[in-house]
Amino acid sequence: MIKLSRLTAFAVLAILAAVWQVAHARLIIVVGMVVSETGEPLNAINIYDVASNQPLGTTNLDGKFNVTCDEDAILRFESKINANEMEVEVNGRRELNVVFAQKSTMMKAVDVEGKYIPKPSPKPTKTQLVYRNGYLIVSNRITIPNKFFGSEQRLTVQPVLTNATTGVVRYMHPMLIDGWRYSDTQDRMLDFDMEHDDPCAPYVRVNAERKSEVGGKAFSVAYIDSIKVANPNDEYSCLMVSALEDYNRVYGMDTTIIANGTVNPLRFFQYSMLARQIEDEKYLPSPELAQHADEGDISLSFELNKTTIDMNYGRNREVLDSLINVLHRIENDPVSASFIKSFSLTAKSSPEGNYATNLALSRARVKAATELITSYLSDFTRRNMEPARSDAAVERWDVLVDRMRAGGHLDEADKVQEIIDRYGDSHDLISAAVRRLPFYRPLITEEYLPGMRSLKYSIVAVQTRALNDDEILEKFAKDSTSLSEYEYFRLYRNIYKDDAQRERVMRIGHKYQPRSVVIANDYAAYLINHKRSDPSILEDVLAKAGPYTRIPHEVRFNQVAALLSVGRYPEAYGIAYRLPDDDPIYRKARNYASIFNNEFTDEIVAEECADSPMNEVVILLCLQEDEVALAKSKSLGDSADELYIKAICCYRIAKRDESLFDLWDDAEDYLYTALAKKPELKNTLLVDGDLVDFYKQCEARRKAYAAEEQALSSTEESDSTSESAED
Amino acid sequence: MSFNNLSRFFRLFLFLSLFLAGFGNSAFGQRVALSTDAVDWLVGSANIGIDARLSRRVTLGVNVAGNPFKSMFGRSDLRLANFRIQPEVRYWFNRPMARHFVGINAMGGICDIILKDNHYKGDIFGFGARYGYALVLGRHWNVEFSGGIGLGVVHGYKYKTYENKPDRTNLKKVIPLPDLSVTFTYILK
Repeated sequence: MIKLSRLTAFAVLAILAAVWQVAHARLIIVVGMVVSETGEPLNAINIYDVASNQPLGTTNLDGKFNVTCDEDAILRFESKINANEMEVEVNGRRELNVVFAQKSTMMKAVDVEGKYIPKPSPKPTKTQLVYRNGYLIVSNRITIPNKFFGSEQRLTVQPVLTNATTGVVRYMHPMLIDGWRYSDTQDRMLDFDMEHDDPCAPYVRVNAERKSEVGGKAFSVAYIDSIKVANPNDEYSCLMVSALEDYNRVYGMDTTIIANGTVNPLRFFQYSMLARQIEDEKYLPSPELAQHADEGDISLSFELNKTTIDMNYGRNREVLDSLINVLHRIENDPVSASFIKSFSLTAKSSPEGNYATNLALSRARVKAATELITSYLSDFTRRNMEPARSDAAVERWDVLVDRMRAGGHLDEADKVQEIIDRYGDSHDLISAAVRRLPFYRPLITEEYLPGMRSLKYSIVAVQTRALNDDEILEKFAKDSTSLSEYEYFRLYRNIYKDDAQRERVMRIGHKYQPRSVVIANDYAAYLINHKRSDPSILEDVLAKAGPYTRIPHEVRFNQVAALLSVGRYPEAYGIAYRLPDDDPIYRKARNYASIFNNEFTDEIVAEECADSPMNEVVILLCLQEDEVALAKSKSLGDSADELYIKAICCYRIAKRDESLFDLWDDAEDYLYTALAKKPELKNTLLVDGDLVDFYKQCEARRKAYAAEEQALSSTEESDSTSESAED
Repeated sequence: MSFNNLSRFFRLFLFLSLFLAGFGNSAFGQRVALSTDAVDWLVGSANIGIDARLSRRVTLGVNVAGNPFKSMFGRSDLRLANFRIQPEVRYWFNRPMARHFVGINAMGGICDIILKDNHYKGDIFGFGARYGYALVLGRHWNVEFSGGIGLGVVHGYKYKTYENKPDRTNLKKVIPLPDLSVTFTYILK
């Protein structure tokens, strides 16, 4: 008895211990990123919980994942592509970044555990990828067959868009159909907070049929989703992946191809937009103003201690005359429109004498000289000139020492230096002492002091003289990157006539004068007209324009033409609607932009249909008015494109009904004739959702006939040879 | 119960508080379900249980039951009075609170049983195992069918109904504890 109660006690403690252990293994959410060895984020890596072998999640396009698991779970990362896998312990970490080594792509034999996905399996209907406004739309129905789906199961259906031209695979929104029990227990597991905790919650639909086991009637669900694509002319195909799972395991996966190619009849819409150059004077560049500065020395003589200039003293008259001539020449230059911006005199006087009087005298003299000279300028110049800033200064005695040393009179220089050192800053004392030097006259006064007096004039003149054509050509040849906007403009508009040279000028001009709207516009126009549009040129111009900058309409028009030709329809639409209504060409641009954005208002349709019957049929095909399109297509002509469109019209009606033999035949005839006339149509055919499947069918059938015929003809030959042998 | 059994009662109380002190905060802070056993009600015991989820596969629960009647069905020779506490930890094979599970439990209780003319009065401590199936009826409701077997030690007094209670305990016996139950569970929140 004692043993048993001890046993009981141990058992109880053991239970407590076990529960303690288990109690701490709680659910946590782990987020993280899976990258390859080279640091690239890896998409579509499946994550499983090793203990329960249940799928927990998958990495998205950025390599990131978000799973809920036990604190001490071990996660297995599996690559769908090359069956590579890797196990990582969670150890309570909330964030887990994994470097996933990619082995070489060797397919490993995979054992599918559990039951296989029961047949018949869910059938997604085949559909078409319709291109509209920059989006590809996938819309189809998935039929769940009888007795397929149980209340404790989940069916996941997800379309996969493959772009064969760029090799990019994109997953669209999944649709998850949950049995009601699955959904309820899921809800409980996530603490009744499914919208926040379950990343799949927005995509779940619950099948409420309350049968407990696998059973229930067949039903179908509709799927519709759209995905933004950059280039509608790439080769797209769409698969649908469906998977069935219950609480513990995935039963199996099925993949069906649901669409090939994109349906986009607007490919054949005919329009022409001739790009325009800017003609409005307001925006054209004009030749630039350049500033010149002129400086020089003059020497004016003043009588001792006098401040007025006597014209007859010394060489004053000559000096003044020549200076005034210079000024007049600038004022009256007939070739360039130039004017004098400023005029100033700067005087430096020699250091002897009293500093203060010297300075005052100098200043007065300079002022007098300036006044005299400016009195000879024209009224216009005087009015528009900056105020004359003339100044005077007294040289320092140190400068004398330097000059004497430079001149070779070293002893005398030292003596002067001694005086300077003795008296320091007091200029006048130094002057007096220097004057008492024995060699003051004539050495210093004759040789050095005169050289230290100077009077400089400075004229700043502004000339607007544009370079003429030859000069521009010369400048371009010397250094093509340094021209001004006006110079580039003249080069490509007037000077060069050859297209290749003009393009070169425009390209260089746009690169080195990036802020010039005219050059950018003309360059873009040139490219558009030569079928090499580049929307990035005018994109900058339009982007940098503030609300008050006026952009010429030509720029917008050209940008619309460029964007339409590249396939960026929504952007073209936005810009086209800022064009004015009056000009018929701008109206056309708006119409085209609307049409390419699937905006078919009555007026627009009426205008475009009146112009061209081919466009009418194309628009009808876009609107899915297949019968009317077929009727109208009978009146189209015989060119390759028109035959192709006829083939589309016939096939759209024919494929509804196998028994419309005439239409089937017509479609095939038109298609093959069109291909024969214009072999480049084959490239369009292979990306066209309307006809690519039909083409493949026809090809297959033709090959089969050809093989049969070959077999027949070979047996005929042997028959005929045997007959002739008999004869 | 009567004063004499207080010490045993106290032991029971200790048992439960030790248990709750260890797990109370962590376990019962999370989502909680209330359950009650229909079969037990039929036998006269009121009962209520609380379950909490510890991890994806494991739940921990405590069941408290008590039969207060001094005589069952009006018969004076049948008394099944008891008060018991049963913590149980369950492992679920699928999702928690759905489908199959196994559990191990411990039991502690005090009893006062009269069968024919034998009067057993004392406490029982034991452990057991159980297997069951939970049927999901809706977002919040489950019904569980389970059966279990266990072993317990009865400690107390055994005397005839017409005798007085002996002074010292004279009963120490190992008994099997079979259990069949149909439990209705409501998951809260």
